[in-house]
Amino acid sequence: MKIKESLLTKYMKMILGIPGQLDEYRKQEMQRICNNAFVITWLYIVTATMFFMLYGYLHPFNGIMMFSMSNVIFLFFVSVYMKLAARKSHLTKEEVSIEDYNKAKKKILLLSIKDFILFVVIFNLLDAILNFVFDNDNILNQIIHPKKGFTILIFFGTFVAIGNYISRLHRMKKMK
Amino acid sequence: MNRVREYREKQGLSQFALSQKIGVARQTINLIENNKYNPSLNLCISLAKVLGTNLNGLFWEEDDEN
Repeated sequence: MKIKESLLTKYMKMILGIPGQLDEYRKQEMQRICNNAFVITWLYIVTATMFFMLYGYLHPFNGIMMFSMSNVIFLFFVSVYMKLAARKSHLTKEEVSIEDYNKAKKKILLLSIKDFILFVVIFNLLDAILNFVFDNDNILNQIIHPKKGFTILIFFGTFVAIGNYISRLHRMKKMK
Repeated sequence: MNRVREYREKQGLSQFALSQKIGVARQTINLIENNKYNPSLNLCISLAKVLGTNLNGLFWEEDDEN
């Protein structure tokens, strides 16, 4: 009954915070939530583009700034909707048997370490690109020796990894 | 109403044990038992096999036969 997961499915699972394997009910619910989010996004894009095209004609700078800000706000609300809908459909809980509990705990620890590494690498790269764009610094030099140092990245990376570990542990339910 | 719960209890299985045998989440079994989710034919067949019955026994309502 387990369903083979494509890259897009894995991405949808990541956005909605669905742990473990998908079965047919979970896949159906996940697709329903994503379809709703898509339709809402489509309506927003059509309306916002029309509005900011007209507004931007009169005030170009304000138009660009407002469009970017409204996109960020819209993204926030759509993300909240998706998370709440996934929770309401009981998609975020992962039930594991007592025998598999320790194994599952080790797995989430490894996932959190992966999150930490990804965070440090991505933000180091992002910082290097920003420094290259705004200060014209050498990009390779910035990756190896970041201006702000690795301490701050490691600090926030640890914070994110611990947060993700606790959240995954909270979603896991021990079953007899 | 389907008779999944009745057959499951006859077999002495918990919802979680049944879900593990079929390879679905426990919530899916719970929703099927409470008639809140219509399973696919493949899932119905797996359920019938694990519960040692057939599709008629699990899902056919006796009133419908008349």
